[in-house]
Amino acid sequence: MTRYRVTHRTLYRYGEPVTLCHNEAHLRPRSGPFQNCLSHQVNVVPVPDTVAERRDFFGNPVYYFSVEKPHESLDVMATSEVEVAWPVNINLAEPLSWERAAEITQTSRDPECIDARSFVLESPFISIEKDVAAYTAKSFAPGRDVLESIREFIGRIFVDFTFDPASTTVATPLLQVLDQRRGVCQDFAHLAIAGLRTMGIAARYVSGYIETVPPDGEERLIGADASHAWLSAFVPGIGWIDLDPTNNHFPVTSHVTLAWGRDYGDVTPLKGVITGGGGHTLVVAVDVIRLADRPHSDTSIH
Amino acid sequence: MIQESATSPAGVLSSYHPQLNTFDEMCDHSGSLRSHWQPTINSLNEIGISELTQIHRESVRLLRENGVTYNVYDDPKGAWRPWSFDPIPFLVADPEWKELEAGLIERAEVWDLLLRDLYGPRQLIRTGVLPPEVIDGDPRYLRACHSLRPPDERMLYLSAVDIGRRHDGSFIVLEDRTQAPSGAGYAVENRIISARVLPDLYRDTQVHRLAVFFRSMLASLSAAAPDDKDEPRMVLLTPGPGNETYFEHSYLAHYLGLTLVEGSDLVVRDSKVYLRTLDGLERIDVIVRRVDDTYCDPLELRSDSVLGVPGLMSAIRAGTVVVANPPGTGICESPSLNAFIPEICRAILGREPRLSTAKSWWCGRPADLEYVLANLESLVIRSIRARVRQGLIWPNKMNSDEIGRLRDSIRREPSHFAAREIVPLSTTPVLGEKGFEPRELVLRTFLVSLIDSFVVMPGGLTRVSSAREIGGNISSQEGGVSKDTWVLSAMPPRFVTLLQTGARPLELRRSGGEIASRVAENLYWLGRYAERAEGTARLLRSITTHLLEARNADNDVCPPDLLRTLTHLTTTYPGFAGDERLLYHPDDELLALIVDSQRSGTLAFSLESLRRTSQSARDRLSDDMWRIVNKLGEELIDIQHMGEAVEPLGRVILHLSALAGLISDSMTRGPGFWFVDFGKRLERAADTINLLRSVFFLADEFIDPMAEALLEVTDSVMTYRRRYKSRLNPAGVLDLLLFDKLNPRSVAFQLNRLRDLLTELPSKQVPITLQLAQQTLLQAFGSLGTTDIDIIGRRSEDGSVPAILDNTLLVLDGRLRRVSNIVCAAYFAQVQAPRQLVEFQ
Repeated sequence: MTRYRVTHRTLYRYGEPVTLCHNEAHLRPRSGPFQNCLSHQVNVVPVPDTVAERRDFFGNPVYYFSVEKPHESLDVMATSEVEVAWPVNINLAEPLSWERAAEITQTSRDPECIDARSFVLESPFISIEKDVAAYTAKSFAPGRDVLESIREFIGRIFVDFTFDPASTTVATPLLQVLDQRRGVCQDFAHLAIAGLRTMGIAARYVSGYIETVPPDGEERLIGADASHAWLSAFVPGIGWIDLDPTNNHFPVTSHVTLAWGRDYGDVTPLKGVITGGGGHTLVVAVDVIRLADRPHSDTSIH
Repeated sequence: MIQESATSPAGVLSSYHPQLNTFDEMCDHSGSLRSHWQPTINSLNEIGISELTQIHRESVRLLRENGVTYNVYDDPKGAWRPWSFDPIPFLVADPEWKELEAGLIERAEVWDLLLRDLYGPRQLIRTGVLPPEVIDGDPRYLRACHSLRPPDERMLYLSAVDIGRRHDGSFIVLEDRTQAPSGAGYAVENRIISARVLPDLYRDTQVHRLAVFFRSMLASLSAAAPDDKDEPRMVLLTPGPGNETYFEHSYLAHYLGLTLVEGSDLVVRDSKVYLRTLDGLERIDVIVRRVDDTYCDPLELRSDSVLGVPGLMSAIRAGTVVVANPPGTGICESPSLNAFIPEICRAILGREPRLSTAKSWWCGRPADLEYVLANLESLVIRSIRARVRQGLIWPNKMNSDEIGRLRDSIRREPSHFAAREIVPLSTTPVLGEKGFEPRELVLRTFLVSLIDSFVVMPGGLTRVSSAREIGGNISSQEGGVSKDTWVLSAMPPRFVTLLQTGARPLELRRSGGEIASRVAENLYWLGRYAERAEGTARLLRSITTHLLEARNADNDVCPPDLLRTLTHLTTTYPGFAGDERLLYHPDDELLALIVDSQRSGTLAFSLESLRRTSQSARDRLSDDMWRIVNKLGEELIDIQHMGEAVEPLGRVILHLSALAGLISDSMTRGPGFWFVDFGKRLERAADTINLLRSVFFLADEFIDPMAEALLEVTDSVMTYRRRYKSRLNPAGVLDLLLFDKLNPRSVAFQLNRLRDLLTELPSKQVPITLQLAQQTLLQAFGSLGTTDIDIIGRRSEDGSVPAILDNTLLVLDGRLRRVSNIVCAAYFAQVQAPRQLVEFQ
């Protein structure tokens, strides 16, 4: 069990006053089998005129707020404490070929399988592409064990692709990422999801954070962390397994989950529609701090 | 062949030959008239073919006059295509209709329950009735709409169903429209036309009235309003004049008494929806939506939508507004769902549906895929990705290469494709050149929720194929023809009006509700364009008349200054102010100034702008005003050369006068009238100043034809003659057109009127700007007052006018522009388009 405190600050400064903005945030970490959200709060400056919390289609907490008076900046600060306990080893009781895994997902009447089936389909950011299928198929030899196939596929993305924040934007198409062999965590997650889906394996996009460890002898820089993205793959008999192609983690270890969906579009941490504003600048600062292990029965669990 | 006993050999049916293997609505298989057609056919026979052809022409004329149009996408010439109409009604007998009605209601109830499930517990998916791919793989299913409404609230308020008829006479569903069903307004318009062109027949036949349906619609929408409001504020949300059925949006809004709004007219604050009006924000309770599902809210749905309202979804969720239909309802239009109708009905109703659906297949099921690939050419294919109107693929009209490619696409992504049997449609008579001809028909029916069920419009929109070919595609986008649908009643119909006489005491009102800023702006421009068009038409008429008379007298010259005045007034430079040669061969340029609607400043351009602004403010204009606006556009169509222009120009002037008369006589003196009049007065003052300047200062000399034209354009000939007989004197003209406060065409009159208007301006919001405008106007008065008419009079003995007057006119013009700018900025302040902010990682 590891505890983290995550702070995630997003600051927009506008060239001209914004008269009205409507926003939606996926900033509250969702609780699940491997994670408990112990506390969470969002501070918005200026103070929002309307707020509403709900759960989205995928069960993620969503925070809606609007600022309805003229403002020249928008400062959103989310602070969360979570405890996580990721499984260390993933094993199947009996070997399972990837073809059989895909078939069970498709045909089982088990509600978890029926729910997972939707994650085999295309989604707005992830289309089924021949080139992606060809790249993926190299790890999926006929009859090969599903976990082994996935593990190797994730490892290949880690080796073949260069992490390069300058290379892509949120709108860079998958095929271009595949072509230039560069991208950021989002791109690698999208690529891995696309690949698994072409093989009939259900895969979903996970938005969250990862604890970063500074190089030896250096201090951890405050605000140097970033939002992170990885994926979950569905394997019948086990369930959803989180894996991180950016860091070649299978399963993941030091990750904090915010939300999951079909792709980035479903779980954007913060999005909004503004009226006015002119140009704007944006500062994002994320800190993931590991907390000392201690009992915390007094903390409320959300 | 029709039995001769049914009709005389020369009657309307003499050449009516329905195909043997189809169901004909009028004749049974033996060729005899079905009994419910008998009286109607007898009457039509009495009327006779030649008279019916006249009636057809009359109905086309009426439709054009009423401005009934259907916009065709991607076709600049086809935009505003007049609605095609066949005068022979489609008759449905009462017992048949009752059966269809019951089936339709059942279907709407099933859709409503299905929607509640799909956007709630998803039991039908969880229990395996529907494969998740059918729903989750369809772009019409919008995850953001999950749990949008409380589980016990309905999802479906309005729906439309396209119905065909099988060979055996049974009705069959072809398609559903569940997100923003269109066509009900066209059905009303068809009824109005058919009742008007066949008055006796309509009166003598017991036809169900359509108004009942719309009364239910109003009742249903009012009842849906949050907080049980007595008189909820309701609007109709349209994508705008570019939409294919915009005519209908404005028509229905008008008919139902809803305010017609575009997305930018609405704003969400405090999770409530407001309309931006001249008096500030007005709370809205119910939105009848004609914007597609995904465009409703750029925050949660399509982020690139500029047609929606940011935050609308949060307001729906908060329960402060009801949108009919709520976003997400488009999933019932999915072509794949039709393949599961039996399963859905068994799960929801526990039995088979009353009304059958055209047999459909979803290629995501292996057995279906196999069937579809083996029988491609007898099926209609639809991709679930295609938008509704592009959706139908007809393999029977493809060559083998195309079929091969289609086969590959289906094999590659089977779950993206659905197929439907090609239903042989029934035929019904349309009026042909020699008599009636059978044509295939599709009937669009309409439903509205009422309490816990639905009611069906007793009628509908019947569309028939445009060609004789059987087995074709019937779509308004592809140029089909429509006709009225008469559901015959066993009892005489009751008279119904939408103005209900309720038991509740009426709260007396003096204003007709809020007015959106955008509409106010359009009304302002309507006033300006109408005035500009009138001035232009008058000057054009004056010049063309002069020219034609001169030609008859063998004197082929028009005074150059007169022609230049036309260029100045219309600001169509260089025109006659440029190339000298044009002055000697003015015909082409004159013609262009009349008919070229692409060129800014021409008469046709002003009329087109008038039409556009009227269109955007349609729900503020009476039907008569609207009819005039439509007639105006037609007058110029047939002018081939300048010589033919005089008569049409005269008619344009008459129409514009009629329009002005209706505006001043029939429009309530509210903000709507205010902005029309404000625009008109500003334009008239500016045009007169412009004319005076070009006649007195830009022209080489003051000559009689110029003065005559000036008086003619300002419609002041009579007044001048009465005062000065025929002596044309510059001072007399100036006094009449500039200073005479009693002449409704003079600049001084306009200034007085503008001053009065400024004191009546809806001023809740902008007192400071109002003061500014008033000050500026006072300065304008001042500049007019400093010029002593006597000085002008004395100086003008020698025919000249002091230069100081030109300066005065310039100053006056500038001041009026400022007043206009101040008022425009205060009231029409263009709402900035909302933009996306997304955090990039």
